[in-house]
Amino acid sequence: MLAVKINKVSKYFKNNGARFDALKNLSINIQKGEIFGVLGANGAGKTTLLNCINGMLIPDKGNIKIFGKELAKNRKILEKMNSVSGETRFHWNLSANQILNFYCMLYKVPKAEREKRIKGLISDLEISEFMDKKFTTLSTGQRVRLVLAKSLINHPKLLLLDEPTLGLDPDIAIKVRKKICDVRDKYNTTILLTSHYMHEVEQLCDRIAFLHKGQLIDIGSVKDVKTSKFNTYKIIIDIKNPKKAPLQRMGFKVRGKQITKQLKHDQDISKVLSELVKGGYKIIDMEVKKPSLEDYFVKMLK
Amino acid sequence: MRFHKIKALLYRDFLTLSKSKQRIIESLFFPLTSTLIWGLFANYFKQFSVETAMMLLIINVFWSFSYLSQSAANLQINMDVWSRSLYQLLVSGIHELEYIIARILYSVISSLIILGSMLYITHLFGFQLPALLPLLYLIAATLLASTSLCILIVALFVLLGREYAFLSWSFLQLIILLSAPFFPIKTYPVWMQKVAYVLPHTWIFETLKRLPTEGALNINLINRSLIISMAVLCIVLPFYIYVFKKSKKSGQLVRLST
Repeated sequence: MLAVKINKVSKYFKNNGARFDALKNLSINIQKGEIFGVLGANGAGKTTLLNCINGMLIPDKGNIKIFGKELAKNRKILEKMNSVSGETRFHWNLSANQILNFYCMLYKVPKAEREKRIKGLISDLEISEFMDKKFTTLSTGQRVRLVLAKSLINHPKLLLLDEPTLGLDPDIAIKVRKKICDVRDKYNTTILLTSHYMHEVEQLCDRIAFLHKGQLIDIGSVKDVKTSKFNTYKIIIDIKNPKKAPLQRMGFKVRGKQITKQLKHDQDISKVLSELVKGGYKIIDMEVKKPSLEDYFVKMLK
Repeated sequence: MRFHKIKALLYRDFLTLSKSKQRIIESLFFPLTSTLIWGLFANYFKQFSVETAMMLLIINVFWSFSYLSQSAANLQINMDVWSRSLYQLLVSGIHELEYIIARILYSVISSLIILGSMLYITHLFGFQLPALLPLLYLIAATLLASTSLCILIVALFVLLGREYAFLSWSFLQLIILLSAPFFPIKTYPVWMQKVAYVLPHTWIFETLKRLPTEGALNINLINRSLIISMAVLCIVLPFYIYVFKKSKKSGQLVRLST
């Protein structure tokens, strides 16, 4: 069964009489247990899509099924989901501990299990040092970890994360990403995330969808979408004794001791290297520069 | 209806209240000082007319009670918006009805506590409390009138946006203005009389105005208030549900809650 089936969904907004199409005829299937990334520039429709999935917005056309059921007719599905963003806020006057307790009650976590579950999250997300502090006094990193703890309080089957590491220090962001992977592995949670950090998406997501002005432009595994747009990659080699003319005949660009060549994805690097060695060249250093998701993102927006 | 969600919200609301001395003082300060002021005035006015003095005193108490029982719920909703925590509540799967019921229960509990204190103060100034059952009936009718008003205000707030938060503390004033609190309905021009007749608060105040002279609460007048409130409730509840649905279509709910 699919975790999420987005079927021909359209959503528009009106602003001072002008119509803005946030989503246009969007169809995406997300498998159970998948970490699925939604990419796109600002205004692409990423957050609108998440809001349609969690019921904060009603699509104008099409429908969304979560675990085979339409949200409009089965609101109880929301209890199996959780939804947070980097900008999530809680009541300023409550401590982190009280916030988690409140959400335990709201999601009907059995009383006997509450303490154990909160303790588990405290330990996993290393949030023990600020559990008694009021929400307003927490730093950005502490808030995001608390938000993530809240998002896991009901052991969701579907987790929607909108920019989960926005504004975090790198060390905290790494911990948060690790936790996201752990959650999927431990509970087989389906995770749908949006992020502006391409390396994060590359690291976390099994598949991605690229949205542009509300339309689906591309979908597939990170590797697939990249190779669909870039059929070559670059190899950079430093050699001790470069001879310009023979190297150029071999297809290399020569700049000082550094030579570069564009290779096709299925081309064998070892073959290129062995030709150099046979030609009597001494290899000092080598770097393979494959196109990143960031390169893909930039190319898609052109 | 899922009671665990209502219970969770009540837990959070009373927890936030208990953690803010300022809010506790604020919610007690105005109703209690106002009752004291009117109590002192009644004491002075007794020399002219005991009935009028007692009428003014008890009407003021129920005016404050009406305001508290409506505004406490509305302000709690405003706080969810101001703290930007409303979004998290709504995505937890809470139903709009569960949400409003929790807020109404909160306001009923907190305003009843304050009403008890205000009635005690009026007693100190010589006001003789009417029989318990009719009094409880009047309190229930007042709560119902305030509740239907509260739901209407939430619906308008969701529909129009956070700039209209002021309705929470000002809308009742308009209702009171049209409900002839201290004077006969006939004081109004004809068109205002027509409006007054269909407002539930008019009949609550009418009951209270007649209390000192009749010596008991007029059940027929309370019935009238209750029937009007129920009719209002039958209109505002579907309107409230409709507004939530509409705001999910227009994106207004996301704008309001984040």
